[in-house]
Amino acid sequence: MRKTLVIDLDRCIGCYTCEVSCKQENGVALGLSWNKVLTVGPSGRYPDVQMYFLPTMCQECEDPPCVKTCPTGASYKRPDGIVLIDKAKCIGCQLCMKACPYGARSFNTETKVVEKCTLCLHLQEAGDKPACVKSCVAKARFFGDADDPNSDVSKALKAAGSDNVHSLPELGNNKPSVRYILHPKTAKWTQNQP
Amino acid sequence: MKQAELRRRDFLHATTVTGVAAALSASVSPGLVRAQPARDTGPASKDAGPATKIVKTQCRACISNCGVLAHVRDGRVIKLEGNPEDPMSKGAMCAKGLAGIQALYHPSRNKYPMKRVGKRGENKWQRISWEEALDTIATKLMETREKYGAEAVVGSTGGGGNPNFMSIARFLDVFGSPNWFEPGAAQCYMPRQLVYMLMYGGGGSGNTSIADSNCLELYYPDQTPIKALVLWGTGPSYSTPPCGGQALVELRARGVKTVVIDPRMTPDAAKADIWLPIRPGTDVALMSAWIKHIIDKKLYDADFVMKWTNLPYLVDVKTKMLLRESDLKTGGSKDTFVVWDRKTNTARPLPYPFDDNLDPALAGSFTVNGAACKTGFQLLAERVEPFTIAKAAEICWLDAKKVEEAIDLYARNSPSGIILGVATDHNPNSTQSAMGAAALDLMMGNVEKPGTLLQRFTDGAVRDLRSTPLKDFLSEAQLNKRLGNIEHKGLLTWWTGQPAEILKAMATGKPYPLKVWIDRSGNKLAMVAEPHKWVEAMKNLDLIVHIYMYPTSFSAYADILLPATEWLETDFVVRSMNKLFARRAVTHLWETMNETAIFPELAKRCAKLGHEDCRRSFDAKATAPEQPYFDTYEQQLDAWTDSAVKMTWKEFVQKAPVDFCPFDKWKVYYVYKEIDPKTGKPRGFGTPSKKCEIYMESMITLARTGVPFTTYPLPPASKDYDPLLYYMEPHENPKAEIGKTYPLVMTNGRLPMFHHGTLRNIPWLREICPVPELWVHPDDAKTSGVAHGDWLWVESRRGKIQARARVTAGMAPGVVYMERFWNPEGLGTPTQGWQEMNVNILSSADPPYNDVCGTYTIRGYQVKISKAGGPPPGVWYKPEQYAAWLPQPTEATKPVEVRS
Amino acid sequence: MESTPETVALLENRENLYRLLTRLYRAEVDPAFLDGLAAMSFPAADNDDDMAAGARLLEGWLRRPQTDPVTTLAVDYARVFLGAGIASGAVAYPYESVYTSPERLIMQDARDKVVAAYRTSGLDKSDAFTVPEDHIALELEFMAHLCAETRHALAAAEPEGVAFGLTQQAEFLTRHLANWVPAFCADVAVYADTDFYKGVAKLTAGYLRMDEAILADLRAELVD
Repeated sequence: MRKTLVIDLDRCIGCYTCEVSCKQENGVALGLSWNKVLTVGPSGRYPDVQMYFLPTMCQECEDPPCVKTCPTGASYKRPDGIVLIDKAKCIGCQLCMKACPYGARSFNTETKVVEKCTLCLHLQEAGDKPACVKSCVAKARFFGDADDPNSDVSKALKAAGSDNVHSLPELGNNKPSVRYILHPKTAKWTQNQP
Repeated sequence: MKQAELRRRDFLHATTVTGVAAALSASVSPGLVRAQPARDTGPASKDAGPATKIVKTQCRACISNCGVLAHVRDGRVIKLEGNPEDPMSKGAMCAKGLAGIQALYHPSRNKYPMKRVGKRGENKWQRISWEEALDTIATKLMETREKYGAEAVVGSTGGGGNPNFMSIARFLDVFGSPNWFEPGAAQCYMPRQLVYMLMYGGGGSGNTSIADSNCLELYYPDQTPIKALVLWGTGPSYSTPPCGGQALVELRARGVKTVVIDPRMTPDAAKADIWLPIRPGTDVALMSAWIKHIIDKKLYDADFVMKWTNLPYLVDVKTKMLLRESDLKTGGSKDTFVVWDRKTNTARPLPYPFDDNLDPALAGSFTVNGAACKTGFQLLAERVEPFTIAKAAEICWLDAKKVEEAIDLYARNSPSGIILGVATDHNPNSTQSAMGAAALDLMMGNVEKPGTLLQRFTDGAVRDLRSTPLKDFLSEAQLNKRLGNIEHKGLLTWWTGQPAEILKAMATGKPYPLKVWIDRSGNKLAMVAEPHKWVEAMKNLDLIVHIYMYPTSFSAYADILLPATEWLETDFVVRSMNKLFARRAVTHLWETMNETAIFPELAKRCAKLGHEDCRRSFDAKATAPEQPYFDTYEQQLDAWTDSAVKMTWKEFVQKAPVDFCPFDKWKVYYVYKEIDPKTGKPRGFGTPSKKCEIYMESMITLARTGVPFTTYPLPPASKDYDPLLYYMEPHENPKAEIGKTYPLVMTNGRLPMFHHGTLRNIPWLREICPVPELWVHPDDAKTSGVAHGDWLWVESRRGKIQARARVTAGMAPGVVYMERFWNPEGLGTPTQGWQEMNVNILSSADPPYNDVCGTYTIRGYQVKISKAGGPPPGVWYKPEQYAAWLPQPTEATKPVEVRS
Repeated sequence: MESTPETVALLENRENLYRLLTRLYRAEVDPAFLDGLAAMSFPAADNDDDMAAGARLLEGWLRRPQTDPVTTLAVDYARVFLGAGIASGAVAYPYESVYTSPERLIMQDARDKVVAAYRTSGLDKSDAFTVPEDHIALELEFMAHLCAETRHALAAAEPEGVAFGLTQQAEFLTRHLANWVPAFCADVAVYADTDFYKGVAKLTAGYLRMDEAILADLRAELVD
């Protein structure tokens, strides 16, 4: 099982709804974001410029460096693929934050523990999808088990075709599982770090 | 034990306050009472609490009105999500709407009516009752009317902010004042609405503003055959992500081609097939080139143009009026127009709708009874003749090849459509721009067929489930006094006055003084051009009333503050496609009031003080066919739902959404071809000739009389309005003298986390965009010595403000962009929050104005930028600072972790 | 616990003070209340604790000759507690949620919790007072209510009722007053214009501290 997200950047219009709906759903503190919308570009020479939006969040790596670095075992990866933080075990040392290549983790100064996207586990348990997926106005976000060919993520990836599917660059061999769909018609995928 | 005893003695001593019981005897009623058994008194444990209700309502964070499901637990709104039943938003809801809880529960909300103590600007207030507030206002209104005339009372509102837009217009009609304005109107939507109404006649929604919930065809992506869209000065991904933004995503995904005409690279521009980064204010030049190209290459729908527009009709070149049968012979019809029949080489009347025996010339110059005449088409062609693509490209700073590609994309992929946004309404060439876009779509036959934006889907009786003006209440004498109205008769479309003239009267007392100002909107000082002048002029007013949900800069200068309801506290009827939805008050805080209810209360009090028309305004017979004022807001809601779907409000709320028309009877095409049973002929378009009046003789009539929007014929404007579009080079432009000191062209545009001046105090949204960014091309940044992220000074001839630099290749060289902004954290400081980063300090309320409706210049003027030492003092730009939206505890106390 | 005159007076005094504070935060001072306040007198104190200091500020202000004390106080009240005309800062919003929620909004978790506490005692907010339930005036009124209940239990010789009442008071005080009111009072001290409200704030903070200690004593006594 590999629960993860697929984001269709052809569709994403950079409206920040996912960022704000995540905050609403999960009570994320001011100044922190579990799902940050970045703007890539405009790049190129005017007027032949391209631009796209890149929502970034925990990439649910298959071999997560955060889990490896965590001294207390607070960060762990579930069998279904979701990487979580057990707040009771977290001592707030923030080593995982340094280890994450994507800046996907945040330190909560009030609770003094690290936090990040949980793929809205509480909503999944109620049979629902993550808030960011439900709230996306452009229907650009998909959630599901990448190992299941009938899941939303698998279907989206299949429709896009492997040439148009990208992932964020690795650091070492962490194997991020989140995938981004981007066709050249919209823009050329830029290898960049968020 | 001893210690405890001592403590008890001390405590007893310390807490024995003589006279306390007596002091409390004159007390207020208890705040806590016996709980009613019927109430949901769930157990106090954390796990099982009171049940969560889901209430259907409609958002009002902007004018898209998306459907919302509000999760309410025990009177507290805990979550918001979109309602999938809404056919426009289809369950989507954007960041602005989601922040509705923060907006609702923001502690700085206006809570009670307040009256000023001390001097204006000292920010000293005293709570008063609604009774006292309304009595005070009514008394002052009547005094003012007695002493200066009702016209000395001016009202204002905000189109973006006020769901019941005409509430103040109605009250003033009843009171007898012709003067109200909003910063939009001539500067927002009205130019487009007015032009399309006169040219096409599809009613109030018969235009292509996607942000104003038109272009309904686009919301059926699997059914619509539309092939190409031009987004002209509009950015739906920013202005309406869940509705227009989403619709465009679906259409692009299905292969619809798009052209975006916008100096900045918006998300829609980034995803367009062609991006034309136009110089702001030059749109009519480009439109003229498009029209010329389409004429030259014969890309227009020849049959439609011939049969369904007035372009083949003959125009007297001297009088500029259309020839009529009555001009050809006595007893001829005034409603029958004349063409040049090529078969007989004579001028012949053309009976409606057409005569296949005639072969009218589309173009040409002819002589009729000794008068030089040309067809409308000929006149249009001559008007646009100078605008070759090369010329337009030069004026507009575009690549000629790209321009031609864009026209072809639009003209050779039919059906297509031009979504015309607000950008062109922001400079004096406003109505002419609307004429260009409308002419293009109509000449292409992009109207009332599947796949086109201009439609007359069935309205039924539900056009306006809001307060309507009571135009018949305003006397001829008073109407004539409306400031700016005689010269700019287009203002009659919205029955409103011209801000620049109102400002002048307020400042100088000419042509007559203004004494009272009632405003129902956010922050006028951030939205009007040249706010300094307004602040100065306000000193001449005896009473200023501010009705809003929060204090804003404007409140600082007011005398009475009235607290308005947030959208989660408001009952209202909202239309989406063929359905009616209910906006629901899911809660109510303090003593906020729906402003719809405030105005009848004022009218009641004025009536008591002897104002006869205010009394009559409650009489349904006197106000017919419009609704009267009602005694209670519940009665008003009942009246609306009854008129539309024959239900009481309570019934309606149970059933909402309700179809006011079955879908298949609503989504109708070719309305113009429907046979009118009365005449046996096609209905035609909603214009006097029943054809699309691309040659707008109506403009001449409007200028001279105010018809068709006036209730009384009015004296003529100083000159006729031109029946055809014409290009006006922006008054301030880079080539003029001013370009030497101020080399860059300024424009504005929407952002997805704010709606006009709203939501700057909402932490979730403000932390995404803490300060306004000024977008500048890398070349211009270099010349001006600024780098990305620098704090800047931005200056125009009129003032100086700050911004933060965003150096980007997604900006046309020579053009800079900045959105309007005000800083709530500056309220109560000397700047009152409107002077730090407010781009409208730079814009211009001076002439030239648009001839038809008086538009001034809020985009397309000259500025310069330079590096500043730092941010404006006191401005919050770090996320942590928004936590300090409330005072930081002065001791470093942390909230105690509450263990339940 | 015995029903001694001293104990009864203790409970009565506490109830009165809570009611006084309730009234001070509930609404502006009207002329009748102003007269009543002016006729009140706090005990003389030779120490410098906040309650005494606050009382002194209050009384000092009341004694000063002024042209229009009711309006002066109303203006201060409108600014400090209602935030009239103020978009940010310089306001002590009197709601627990504002001080304890991460987003500093009203109607957050604190409100839900106090509603549950009121309901446990069979109380609800009156419809006439249209503010969130965690308004300081309501929380203080609740304490006054609990004091009265405990007083009745004592008079009726119901030791369990007394114990329960004291426990409820201690818990509510710790969880819903001591956790935010000190910070609130510190803000009032800074933002208020008049010594009157500065005094009220000091008095409140001082009194709550004393009350916390006294409640601990009373409850300890129950164990004996």
